[in-house]
Amino acid sequence: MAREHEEQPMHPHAPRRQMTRRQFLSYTLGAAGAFMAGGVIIPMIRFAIDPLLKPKAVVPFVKVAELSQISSQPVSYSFQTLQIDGWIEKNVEQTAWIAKSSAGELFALSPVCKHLGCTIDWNSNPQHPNEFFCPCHAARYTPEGKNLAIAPAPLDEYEVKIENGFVYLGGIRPNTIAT
Amino acid sequence: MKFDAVPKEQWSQWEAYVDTVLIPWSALCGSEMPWEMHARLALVRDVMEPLERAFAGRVLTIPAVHYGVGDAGWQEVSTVARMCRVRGVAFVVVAAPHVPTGMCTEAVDLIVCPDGAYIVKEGQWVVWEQPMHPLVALWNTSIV
Repeated sequence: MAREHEEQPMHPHAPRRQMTRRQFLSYTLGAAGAFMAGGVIIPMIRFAIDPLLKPKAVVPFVKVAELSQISSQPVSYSFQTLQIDGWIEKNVEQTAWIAKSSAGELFALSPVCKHLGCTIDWNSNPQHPNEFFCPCHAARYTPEGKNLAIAPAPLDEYEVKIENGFVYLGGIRPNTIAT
Repeated sequence: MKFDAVPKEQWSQWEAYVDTVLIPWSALCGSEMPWEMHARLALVRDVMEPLERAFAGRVLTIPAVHYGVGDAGWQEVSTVARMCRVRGVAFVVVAAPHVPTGMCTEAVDLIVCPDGAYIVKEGQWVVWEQPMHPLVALWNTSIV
């Protein structure tokens, strides 16, 4: 008898490593729930961040002026760009002040004052000759667009490309020539 | 700038710089056909947009005055202009399809129409013929 007793397992109630039915159902329901929630939430997140995922729109260059006409004196040139706003496409007229720097580098400045967004003009105030002047609050800039008074930053500039003797302008970026 | 582009929190910073109000006035009375209304609004828009673009940092465009029979529309514009003055606005400009037939009001400094700009001189609307923009000329009479 004693020998038979010794052949019994040492720990008859030791925990088994198999999954219980309750655990199996919990895991299965959890996985199915997560899958279904993901099917709803992932497209919503994708929709919300869609603009970030899209490659940045490249502003096409527009032919604006003949290179031979550009001098050190800023001259205003108007040109049209296609603006796409949702379903609406329209041509928007833009203006650039184009000139050559003292180093001979060609640049094109935005006419939008960096103070509050009025339109600046060249050489329009007799008290401040050879400067860009804003008629709204008297902000002033050098020919290269460096801010002299009122405005907190230099005038923005257009990206410039020269091809076959013509000046092409692209997108607007912060000023790189004003020192 | 348009009135709906002014955040309440930022107005205290901008108020000192924005001393001019632009009132669009379409001079409709309600008897016009739809295409006539559209044409009238387009006229006003075409004179407004260059002003708004050129002087965005100093001119505040407020909601338009549209209807009025006879001189009632212009009287409404004059009342709005006077109330703007009460608020502290220094200059009032009206964008209109034509010069008003009603009496001049001192509350309005300048009317801009498709055929030109008009200022008040001796109680009459007189066309502005100088090369300088009339609004800039008005501003030059005061120091900001």
